[in-house]
Amino acid sequence: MTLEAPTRTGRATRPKAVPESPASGWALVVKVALMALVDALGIYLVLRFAATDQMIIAGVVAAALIIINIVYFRAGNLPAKYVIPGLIFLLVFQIFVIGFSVFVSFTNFGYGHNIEKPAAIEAIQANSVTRLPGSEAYPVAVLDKGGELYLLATASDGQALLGSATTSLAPAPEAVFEGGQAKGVPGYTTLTLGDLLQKQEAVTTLQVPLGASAADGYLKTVNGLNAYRFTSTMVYSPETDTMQDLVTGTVYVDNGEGNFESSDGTNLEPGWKTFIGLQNYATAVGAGGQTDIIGVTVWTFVFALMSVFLSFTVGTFLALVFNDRRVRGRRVYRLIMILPYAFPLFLTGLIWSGLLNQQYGFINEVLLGGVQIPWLDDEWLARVTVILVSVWFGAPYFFLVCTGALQSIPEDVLQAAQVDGVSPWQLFRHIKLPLLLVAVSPLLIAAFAFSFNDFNTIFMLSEGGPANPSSPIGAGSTDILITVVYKLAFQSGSKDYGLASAFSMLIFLIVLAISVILFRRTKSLENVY
Amino acid sequence: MALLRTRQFMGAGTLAATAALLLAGCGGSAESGEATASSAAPSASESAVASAAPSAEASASAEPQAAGDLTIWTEDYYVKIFEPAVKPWAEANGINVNFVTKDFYTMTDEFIAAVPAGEGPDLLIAPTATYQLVSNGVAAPVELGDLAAGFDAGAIAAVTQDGQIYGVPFTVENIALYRNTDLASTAPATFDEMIAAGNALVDEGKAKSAFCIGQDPKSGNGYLLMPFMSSFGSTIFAQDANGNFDGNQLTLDDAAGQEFAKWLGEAGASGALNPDMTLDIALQQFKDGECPFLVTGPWDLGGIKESGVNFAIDAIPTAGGEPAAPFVGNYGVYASSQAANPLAAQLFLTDFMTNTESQVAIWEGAQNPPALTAAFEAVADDPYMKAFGEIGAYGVPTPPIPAMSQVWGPWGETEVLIQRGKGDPVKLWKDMAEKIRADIAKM
Repeated sequence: MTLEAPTRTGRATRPKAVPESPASGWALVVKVALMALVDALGIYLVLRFAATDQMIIAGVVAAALIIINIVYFRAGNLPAKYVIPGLIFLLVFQIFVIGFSVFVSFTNFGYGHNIEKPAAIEAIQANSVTRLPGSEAYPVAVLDKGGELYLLATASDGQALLGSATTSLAPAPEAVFEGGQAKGVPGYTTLTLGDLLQKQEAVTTLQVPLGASAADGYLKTVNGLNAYRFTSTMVYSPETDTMQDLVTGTVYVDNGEGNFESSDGTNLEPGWKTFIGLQNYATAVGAGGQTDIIGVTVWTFVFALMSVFLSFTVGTFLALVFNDRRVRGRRVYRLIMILPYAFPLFLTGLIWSGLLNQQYGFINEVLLGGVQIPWLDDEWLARVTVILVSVWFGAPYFFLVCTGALQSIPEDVLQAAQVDGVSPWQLFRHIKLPLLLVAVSPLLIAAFAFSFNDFNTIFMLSEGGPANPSSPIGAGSTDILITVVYKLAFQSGSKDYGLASAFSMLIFLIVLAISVILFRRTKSLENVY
Repeated sequence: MALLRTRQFMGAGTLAATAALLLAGCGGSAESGEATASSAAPSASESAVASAAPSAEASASAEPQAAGDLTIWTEDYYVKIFEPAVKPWAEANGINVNFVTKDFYTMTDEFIAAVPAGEGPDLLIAPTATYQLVSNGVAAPVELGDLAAGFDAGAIAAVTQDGQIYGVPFTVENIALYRNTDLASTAPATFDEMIAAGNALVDEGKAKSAFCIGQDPKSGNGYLLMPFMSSFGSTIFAQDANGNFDGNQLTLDDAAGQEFAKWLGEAGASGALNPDMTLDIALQQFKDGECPFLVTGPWDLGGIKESGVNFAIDAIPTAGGEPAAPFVGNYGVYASSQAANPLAAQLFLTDFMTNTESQVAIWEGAQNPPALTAAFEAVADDPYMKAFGEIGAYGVPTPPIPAMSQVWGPWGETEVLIQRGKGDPVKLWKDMAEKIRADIAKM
């Protein structure tokens, strides 16, 4: 708002005539400085993206930068001045992430399809470069003449051979030898290692033909010390978009699923990223056809509901107790109570997993005097355990929130109820709880959505176990949907980002549907009380 | 008013341009500073290292003694070992070698993700993962020429895919039995002998556990239990005459495998094996002198030496009658297919890594038997290396085929269930094999 001051002053009088008030002058300086920082960062980003050939992102950043500058340096547009920062963060951190996940869910992006098609074509050809069987190793020197690179090789019979990318390898009798190896040719400059390191790309891609025919192979060095006679067996034809094996004659055709495939179904590796339509969703729904997924879904709901309900109950109870003025040392208790919430969740899981180790865990060995309770090794007890740990972590949150909500309940309402002679239970049930729920119910929904996808607790604590190795989807007793997705998409030694994204979209839809329904219910709650 | 606004705009523009230049300048000088330091970049400055690659070439021309750069990703352990070992070579060739510390468990995955984005390093030092790297198009082939013959044949096989070599191995790793010589004076020949000796020590109050082997309470540890399985003559995949593994022929649940499953159930019931004993607990008990026998690899050698426990390296005692053959695995150096410095990377692989002195220097830090035969012979006088080498000689290669990735999970989990007595061992074992077969068929 103060940013508007100079312009308003300007509008009222001519700028030169009236010296600006000190406050608005400072505001201007601050504004220009801040904008300079933003612009500097933006320009830096644009340059970096442009330097790494990411033109689309560079363009988007440039456009955003221009919009920001127009909005903040033009008079008016006051709402935009407020909305723009939030809008940009929303785009970057929400819309883009979701959009990208949707995009990935329609591709085969993952292990085996990790790179773009041109890179895959290049890699297949590079990997097919083999040394001619039984051919000798040549010590080489790299020479330069008029900007063209030459390879000077010393054959095992002591003969010097010279050639470049355009002239095939031929004897060079005039070569100068040093310690039995041809090091230079008059009229050519011998490049040192330092020179070679300056033009690594050119040196390592230099292929000196050995004869007129491609089948003769070529001489090539990758380290500037030795050269070998190589042939490439795989050749890509851009016209037909096929890859051919020159040795066997097999032709590999783009199969539309990110691989070159031969007529007998053999795929060439690596493959590349490509659109595969709804295939990932079909696989995800196919996994849904497995009966195991029903059990996992039921357990996910049970886990989420139980951990939210119990966390809320325990949190509210503690809040009520510690809200009572008669409790001494409330502040200390409150502080201790909040501690679990202050630990990172994944650490909590790991620590509890160690504490609950059946034989060596602190709880069994020390607290319970050496009993062997299979906290995480019995399928039913493990389910109870993960809920309890989740409550241990979740209750402080509700304790915190409910303490605030309880303190905001007007005293006169409570006193009025007491004057009417209600019992403490009635006071809680009919006065405090309804007022509490009005404030807390959106948080309950958020907590449910969080617990529904509480990857950390499950994965760090029980890894979804006890395992059921015969489950077709690899689901253990405590696996919830998100950990099953992780196991299916990432843990079988490969990473399938496409499938994981498709699964995430489905889970997102489930959570969205539940949230919408619950929020409707919350509205009716607000209307009642 | 219009004038004012124009001036504001111009001012902002100039300031912005200056600041952008400053930022760019800072970036540039930071890069060259790092380059001349020729030291490890902390993992925090990853992005700086990644972005250094393009501009480094331009700035390098100014200093003849720093002609080229090389960025290497590896775990903390090997950063410390490679840095001093590489220094003389790097200085002799005028190459600045920058190490970036990566997390052991995720570095290979990170490499696969970063290379296509143009943010990968030139080289990756990691446990061999040739199939994964090649099928994702991120590893460049390397021509070792005749030098390949100088390496352990199994180690070269671990970096080979379809006849093409993609990396240079530098360790041959296998597990063995560490025996506390103060507690147990003789090497046990069989598993039962070992457990009897251990139990006697526990009864006398001299030890806490009879035998230590680290497992995960949920996912087990198929790798460490492998020697006991192979002592029953059990294998994972069938091999053809040339030693190639066939991913479609899972042999886990054949008669020998079922025998192992029965034994595992008994060992779990008697407490000889305990899935609750994690890697940390097992190692700590041995280091504290509370456990006479420990199964682990050479990577724990340094720590155990430091603990001051007197120990010897023995063959793992047999449980099923045949030699207890452990898996043999390797560490290797791979070049990125999109390396910013391809020549320097290949020079590192073919010149530095194939050099006997280099592999000996790495061994001095790592204490893992070198993969280069000449280097192994140079250090074979070391009693521990000798013992590890002798055990590795009858070890079995970790099947370097993609189907193996489907085995690890269910394999370890089922071993835990059997040890805990959660059903008939043979039935659990057969169910596991069926599940693995189904997963392989889906690949």
